[in-house]
Amino acid sequence: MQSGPTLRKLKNLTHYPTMKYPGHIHSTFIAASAAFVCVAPIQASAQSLQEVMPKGIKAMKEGKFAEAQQTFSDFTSNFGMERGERLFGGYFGSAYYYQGRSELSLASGYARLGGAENSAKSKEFYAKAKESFGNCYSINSAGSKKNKQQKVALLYKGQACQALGEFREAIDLYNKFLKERAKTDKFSIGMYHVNLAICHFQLPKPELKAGMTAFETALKNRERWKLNDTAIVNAFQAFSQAVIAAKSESSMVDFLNQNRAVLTLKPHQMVEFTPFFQKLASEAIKAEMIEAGFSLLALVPTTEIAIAEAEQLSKQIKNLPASKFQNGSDVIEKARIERALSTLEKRVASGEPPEVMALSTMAVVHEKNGYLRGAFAVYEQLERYHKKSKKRESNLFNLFRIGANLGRSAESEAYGRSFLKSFAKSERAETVRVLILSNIFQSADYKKAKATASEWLDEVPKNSLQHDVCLHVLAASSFYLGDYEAAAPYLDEHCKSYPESKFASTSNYLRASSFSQLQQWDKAESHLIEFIQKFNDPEKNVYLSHALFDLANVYFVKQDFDNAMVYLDRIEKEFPSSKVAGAAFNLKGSILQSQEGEDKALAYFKKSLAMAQQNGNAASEAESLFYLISLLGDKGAAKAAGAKQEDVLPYFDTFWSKHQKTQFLAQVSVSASEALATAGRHDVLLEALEKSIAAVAKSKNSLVLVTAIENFSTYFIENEIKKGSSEVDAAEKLRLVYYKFPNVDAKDARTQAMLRVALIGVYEDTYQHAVTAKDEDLMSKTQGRINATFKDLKTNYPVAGLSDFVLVKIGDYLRTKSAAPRQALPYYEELVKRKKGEYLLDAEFGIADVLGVAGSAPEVAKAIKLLTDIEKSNPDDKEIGSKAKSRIVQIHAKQESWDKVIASGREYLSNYRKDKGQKLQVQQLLAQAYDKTNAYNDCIAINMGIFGSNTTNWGVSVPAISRATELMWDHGTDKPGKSAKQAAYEVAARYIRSSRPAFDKFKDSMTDDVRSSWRGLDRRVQQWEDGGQIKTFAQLEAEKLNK
Amino acid sequence: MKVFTVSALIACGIATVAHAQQAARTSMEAYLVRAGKKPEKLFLLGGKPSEFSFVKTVQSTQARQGKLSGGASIFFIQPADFSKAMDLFEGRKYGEAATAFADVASKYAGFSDFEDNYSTLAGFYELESLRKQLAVADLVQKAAGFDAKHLSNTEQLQQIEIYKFWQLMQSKSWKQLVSLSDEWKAKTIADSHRAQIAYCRAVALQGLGKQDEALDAYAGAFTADTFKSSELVRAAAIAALEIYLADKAVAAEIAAWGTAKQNKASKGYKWLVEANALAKLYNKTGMGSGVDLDPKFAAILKCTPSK
Repeated sequence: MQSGPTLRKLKNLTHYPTMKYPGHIHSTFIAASAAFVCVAPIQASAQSLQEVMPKGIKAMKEGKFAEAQQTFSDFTSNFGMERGERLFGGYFGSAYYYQGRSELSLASGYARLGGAENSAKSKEFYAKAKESFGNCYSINSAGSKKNKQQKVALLYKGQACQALGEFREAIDLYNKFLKERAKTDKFSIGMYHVNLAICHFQLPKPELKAGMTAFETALKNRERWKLNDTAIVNAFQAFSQAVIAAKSESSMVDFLNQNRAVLTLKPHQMVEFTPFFQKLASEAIKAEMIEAGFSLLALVPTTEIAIAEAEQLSKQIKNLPASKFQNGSDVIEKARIERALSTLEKRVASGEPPEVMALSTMAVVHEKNGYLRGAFAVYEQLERYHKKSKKRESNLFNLFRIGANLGRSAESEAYGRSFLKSFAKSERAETVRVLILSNIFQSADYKKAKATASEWLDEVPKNSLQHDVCLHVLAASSFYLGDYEAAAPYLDEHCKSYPESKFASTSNYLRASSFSQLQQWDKAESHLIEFIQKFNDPEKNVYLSHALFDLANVYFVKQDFDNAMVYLDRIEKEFPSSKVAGAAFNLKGSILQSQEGEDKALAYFKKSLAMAQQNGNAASEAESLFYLISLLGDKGAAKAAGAKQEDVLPYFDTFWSKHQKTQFLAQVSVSASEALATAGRHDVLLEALEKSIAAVAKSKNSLVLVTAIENFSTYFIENEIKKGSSEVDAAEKLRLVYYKFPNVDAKDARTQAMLRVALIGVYEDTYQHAVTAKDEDLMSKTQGRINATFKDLKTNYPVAGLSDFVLVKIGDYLRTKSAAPRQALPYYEELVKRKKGEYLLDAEFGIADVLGVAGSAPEVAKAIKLLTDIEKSNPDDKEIGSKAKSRIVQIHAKQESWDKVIASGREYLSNYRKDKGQKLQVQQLLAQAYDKTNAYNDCIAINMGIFGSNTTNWGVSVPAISRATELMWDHGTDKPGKSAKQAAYEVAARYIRSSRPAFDKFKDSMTDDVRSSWRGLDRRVQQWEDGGQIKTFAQLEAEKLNK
Repeated sequence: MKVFTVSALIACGIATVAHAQQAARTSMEAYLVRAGKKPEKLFLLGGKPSEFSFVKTVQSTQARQGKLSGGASIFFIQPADFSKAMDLFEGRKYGEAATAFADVASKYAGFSDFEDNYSTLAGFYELESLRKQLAVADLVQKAAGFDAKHLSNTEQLQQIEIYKFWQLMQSKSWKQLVSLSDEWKAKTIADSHRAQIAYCRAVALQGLGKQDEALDAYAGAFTADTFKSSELVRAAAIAALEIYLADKAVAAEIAAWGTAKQNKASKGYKWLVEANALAKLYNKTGMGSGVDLDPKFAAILKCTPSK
């Protein structure tokens, strides 16, 4: 008796239904299991046929296949084939047949149990069955002793061969059976076709066509032949595997398209086959037969639809007592419905319904084939509808990852954050953080990048990739946001903590660059030099060219042009096509303009432009045009460069057509103003200036705004007059424009105030012309407009609401250009009241000027005190000191306090000897003061000094030498051997003689003052020569010859 | 006159049917199902649960009258003509299926007052066959007159709700359609339903000129139920490819392909690469279900980026 674990396991097996027709090999497997329960080691002795056959068949009917096999086997082996056939005729063949059937059942039973040992047993019994059926077939009927199973034995031998993997032999046996079978042989024609199909599919070289013919025959007659689902699924499995092995995707697709209806069961009936179809689909997709794989997955029912159908059926048949019944072409089984429902519910509860696998497959296929939008859509569905899936972590990560790849920053970030929330300890959390930060950073949303990096910096472990990225992003974002001071410590920490980071070169560059931005030029210089040395491989360091440019710029700012040129030359040589090359050429041009002349500068600006245009770099093209227009727009610079001012026009036109919206518009328009006006192109000029004003009004560049407004005023009036308007009408038209200036916000106090100030300037000019023309009516009218505009300015734009720059500009304008400089005081005083800002000093000088020039005695005293305080407060700043002192001299001169002029003038010359700005003016005032106080010698000396220092400036030198020699003649001191008059004559005559050729040559281009001053001195020399009080040069030369 | 009496089937009378009439009559095989009792096979001749006529055998000439009460119900055996129509439907022969279902619905109209009757069910599948053919106008027209009250399958009832999307699509009520699809986003529904909503949404977004969002929705349509909603997969893929092809930036990149004018950072280039991938997927995965890609998309297929 068999014992052990296998037997105990077998004893738990229950009864399995057998087939009506014993043709289905798998049903035989099932039936075989029952036989093991009743296994008994019977030592059958040779018995008579009459005893053996009923006994064996009875055992078979009872499912006792081992007992049956033993019975038949003992009988056949006892007699042997020759003797048995002789004794029992065809009956002995029947004994072999039943022996074979018992062996088939046993074989399938062992096969069903699985495992190597059982598999070997199974094979052993299949082999025995094959032999038994073969013996059966070889025994012919003899008279009445018929072998009724002789032909059908071919069918079963075929089944045994099929199970043994001998498919070719099986096919031959099946065919032979069909040819020879007796009409009385009963077998399942459906299973016959199924098995025949399977054999064709499973041949080493599958015969797809023959197999499909057999399979389709079975499918078409499925209902008539009552084929069960399992048989069809087995055949389909063999078919699929054969197709996949043969890589014949079209066979699969065509077959499914043609037989979809037959293969598609009701949803609940398909449930049990879902894993099977999924497996086949996976194999197909793995074999790159994607369409076939998809077609297989189409056979998997939708979970919700299968549940709904099962529930509906379950409810409908609740009161039906039958376990199964025929419903049209279908068999409805209660147990199957319940099983399907239970399976579906378990799948849903586990979070792994078939849809998860289907969607996951789709995602992989779409991504693998480059359609990321599709993959993203799939992962979104997985995340939204299948959150319970065990693969959610992977799905959500992929959703985040693909979103990032697609550039869907916001969505990707949201999914990334959701991932971090749900899977904080995941190995992928670091990647997610790094990608989120990198994406935000790369999208240039630096505020958000900074906030996110700040949020995570303390959460992530130090010395990790996450920390490296967080620190870098925080530092770099701060830098790009212009918060260089905040960036500095983070950049420093990153450089020190992560020298091997892939962001190391970036951090090192930004650290160096931040010093430039903070105008810490020395630090910037040393860090940039260190960076250039440390990261000197341009293949690995994309910032090298930028650093070279920054360093050149540092030297440019430090006026160290030689060093600046060293690095600019490196860029030109090593990085001629880099992004900074254009800017480098422009900077080089600017340096050359101041050092070596405009012609060389022009060449570099042109080179920069050509490069920008060749590379299609619009920003660089705009910048190059800006430099070119700035140079050529200046008449003098254009001439120095060997060009003409009008050469600016084509460059302006290029700029105007392509770069109106750039930051350079206002500067370019201002620079090109004169050339455009000269060319009579006022329309485009005024449009450019109008757009410039509107553009600059929104920026902080007040200086350009002022210039643009001034130019607009000038050329607007010029154009209107050219068109026939009177000066007054032109000004009125300008007023209308300025009071409703296009695209300038009415609440923009800065711009609106400046427009009014400019308007006042236009009125002032008209007023001056009226004064010249003695047109009192116009004077009155114009003064009225000036007053009205001032009133409007003060009322609508009170000083408290104006910026420092606007205050000082209005103040300066009113002080220097208007007839009412006192109007400037409230603007300056407001600035002084604010006690800070870069224009405070300008305001104080402005106040001093106003009070000192037009004020009362106490106001003058106040002005002088103010200037004295300024000088004292800035002891180390010679520029401020000289300016303050020179103003004091000017105020005293204005007050005609000559002694004070002399005292303060001498102090000035003593303390600010090297100052060039105001020195000449102070010297001239001092000369005037000496003259007024009859301090002749001092006056002669200072005039001679003025002459000596300004010989080329005839407007200064000629009056100085004229007055000096005049005083020498009248009040000079005689010296031994030479009288004062003789000395005065010699100095004056020598000058006249030496300067005459130049005078004769340039007199026509001289001003009237200079011309008359020189001629006056010439006449005086002539008078002195004619007067006889001195010896003329002619006389002196004659004496010399005589001697 | 015999009286047929059972506890739940109240016999009202027996009428003798002439043999000539017997051949022409429409009967439906069914089980009378009652709690605790053996089901009884009947052949219903028509009527409604409260009053119907039946015979005990299909050959019987003696029609009886009955009505359902006490929790009794009728379980109809699936008629062969319905099975044949279903085979056409499952075989994706939707045109023939629609006609076959219409015939079934008409033939068994006399039973349409019963729960889960085959007339109503056939009517439902006729609508589904129209939907599968994307015959939207016919679908909308037929759906408007369809009475679903005797269907009990929850998924079928939900499908009828989803016809609302097709109605809005037909009437070009784009904003309303998009809004409704937003409302349905959070619902747990069958993939085939989700695919339909995504498709209708995509068409609406396209109608609103939101091409990028429409492409997303089409991607949802052809991925939600790729394997079973073949008609939507094909329509959505082709609609998406049409969007790409009609885009001016894409056209510019097709013209510039392989030249110095090609701008890999442009939207046109990105879309072209997407379109190329989708067109290839169409061919590789059988998105057309046997329908080849129109030759006009050849220009897209040519623009395959180097790896």
